[in-house]
Amino acid sequence: MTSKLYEIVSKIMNTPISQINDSSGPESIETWDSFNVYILLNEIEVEFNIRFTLDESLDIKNVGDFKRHLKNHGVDV
Amino acid sequence: MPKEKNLSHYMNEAKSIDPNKYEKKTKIAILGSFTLNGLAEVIQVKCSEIKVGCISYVSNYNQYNQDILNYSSALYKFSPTITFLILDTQSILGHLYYFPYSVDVEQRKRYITEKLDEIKNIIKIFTSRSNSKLIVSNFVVPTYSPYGIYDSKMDYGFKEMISDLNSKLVDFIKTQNSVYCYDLDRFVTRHGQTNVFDYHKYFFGDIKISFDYIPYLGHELVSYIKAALGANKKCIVVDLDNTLWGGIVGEDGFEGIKLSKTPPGNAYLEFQKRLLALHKRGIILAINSKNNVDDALEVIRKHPDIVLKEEHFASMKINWIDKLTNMKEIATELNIGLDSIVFLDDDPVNRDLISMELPQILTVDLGEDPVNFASILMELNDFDLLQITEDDVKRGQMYLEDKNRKYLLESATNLDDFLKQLNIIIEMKNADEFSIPRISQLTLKTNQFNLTTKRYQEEEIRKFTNDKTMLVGCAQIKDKFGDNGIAGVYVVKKENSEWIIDTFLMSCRIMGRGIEDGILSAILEDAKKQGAKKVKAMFIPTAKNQPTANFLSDYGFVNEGSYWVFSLENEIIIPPHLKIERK
Repeated sequence: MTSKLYEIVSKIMNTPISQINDSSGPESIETWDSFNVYILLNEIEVEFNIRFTLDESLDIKNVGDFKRHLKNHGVDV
Repeated sequence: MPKEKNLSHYMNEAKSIDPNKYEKKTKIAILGSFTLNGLAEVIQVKCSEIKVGCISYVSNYNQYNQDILNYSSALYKFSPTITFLILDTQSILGHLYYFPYSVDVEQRKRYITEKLDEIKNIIKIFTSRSNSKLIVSNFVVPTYSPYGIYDSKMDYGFKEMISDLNSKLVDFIKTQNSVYCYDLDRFVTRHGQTNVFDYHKYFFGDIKISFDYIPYLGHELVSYIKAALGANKKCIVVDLDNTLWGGIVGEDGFEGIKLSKTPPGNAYLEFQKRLLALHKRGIILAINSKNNVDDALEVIRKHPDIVLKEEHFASMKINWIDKLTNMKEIATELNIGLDSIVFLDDDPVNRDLISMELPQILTVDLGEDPVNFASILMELNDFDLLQITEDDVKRGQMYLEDKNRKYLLESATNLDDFLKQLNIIIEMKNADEFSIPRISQLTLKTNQFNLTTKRYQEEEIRKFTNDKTMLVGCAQIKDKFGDNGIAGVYVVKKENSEWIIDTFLMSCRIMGRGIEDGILSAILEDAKKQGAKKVKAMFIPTAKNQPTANFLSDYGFVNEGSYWVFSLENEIIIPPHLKIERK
């Protein structure tokens, strides 16, 4: 499942999957801008069939945060 | 409705597109009163799918007023050819969006009038400063009112305000050249307001239109680009068995096929009606079917529920020859490019064959269930025109007349006799408000008989007609079988003793009747009458205009550097089978 999450991040951020890890975020990924984050949120929601709350959305700063909040929705990645 | 790909697909694809590699290009500007990120990328990708290079300018969020009002704004520097102005109800209504009944009915009316005037003003300023076409969205009528079900009882109620604004906006836009109204309200209704508006992303990032629907919006907006570039389709080629009717006539027999007012034949009936409606609007229909011609014709001629009859098809290839050969013959026979054809066939093998061998043709996957055929057809945005001219509507009839001309040609003993019997009349007319749309349309789509292949939008043609040193005209061709409509166009620059032909083109449908010589002769005569000494013209070769290559030299023009020149001291000969009338 982790690989699925990384795959989506890699696709949206246009960054090789080998460079993605839990701490990947705006510092390490150049294309990590606000619009791409919106798209990423959307894609992850569609893929795992969940909806992040507004608070969760605002709290997500890196890939690890996605993992943490996915867990809240019962998705273990 | 075919499912769209995710926005992320378009975002990724857009990165690898080089718009400069395409011959056809367009520059689009997107102005919005809310965030429309991703829309430009969707449009870019969809343009590259039809081999159009699209360069875009996206105005900053809610900066459309400044962009339009400021003469030296980045928008005007970008100089778009098509501009989309997408406005939303909330930003136009402001306070009243939440509290519509905080003011009385007269104030509500006045408010809407003021807002309408503001939009009109913006439109007028933009069109006076830019040659771009302008597409303005209408306003989405809200589904919620604080007055609930009683809202419709209110005098000039909340929803009525927006509906009234929309209808007045449309009325105004109808009077404006080069401005079009995009029915955003209908788009939202069609997909559902609760789907299209994503409050989650709205509060998080002021994104109003959900990412899932940006691709659908892009699809609709691309129809304007296709239409403006003349990249629209002209002809639908259909299969018969399991496409126009259910079953196989050769096996199931005349009575056994499915075509009726009751299910399951009604799905095919619906499909035929939708095709007929397009035919009546000027889309040419043709058949490409592997069948016994007698079996198929019996259905087309005698079936009690048939909608599409012989007279609706400009070409019928019903035989056992492969579909590829048939397809090429249809294009030759109708004198249209393969890239203006749409192919509808239920059989995936046939579709694969055509899309592999003739990728210029738009091959549509109808799926297996006839229930979807009509809606798949209606979803295509390839038939749109920014202006439907009288000639477009008459096209079906004109192709029928063409069939009759061919019969005459077959029965005539030689070409001269045939031409004489046709009684061709060429009506030469200067461009006017009625003909300008058609003139522009012909410059945009004529490839074969075209000396310079210069593409002109309506706005440019209109400008030429106001220029005293320019002559813009067209030729309407009539003969004993009917009216071919406006089929020739010319643009001439008058420079003292020289006339320079900037554009000379003719619809390929009427090639081979000496009409081009007739039109040219008439121009030469006019030049002479107005005191010119010579007429100069240029031939700019393209991949498609080979039929024009020898036109000037055959007529008697002499090569001088990059120009071909005709001295008006020479005799001007009008082919004897032609009658020229100046209107």
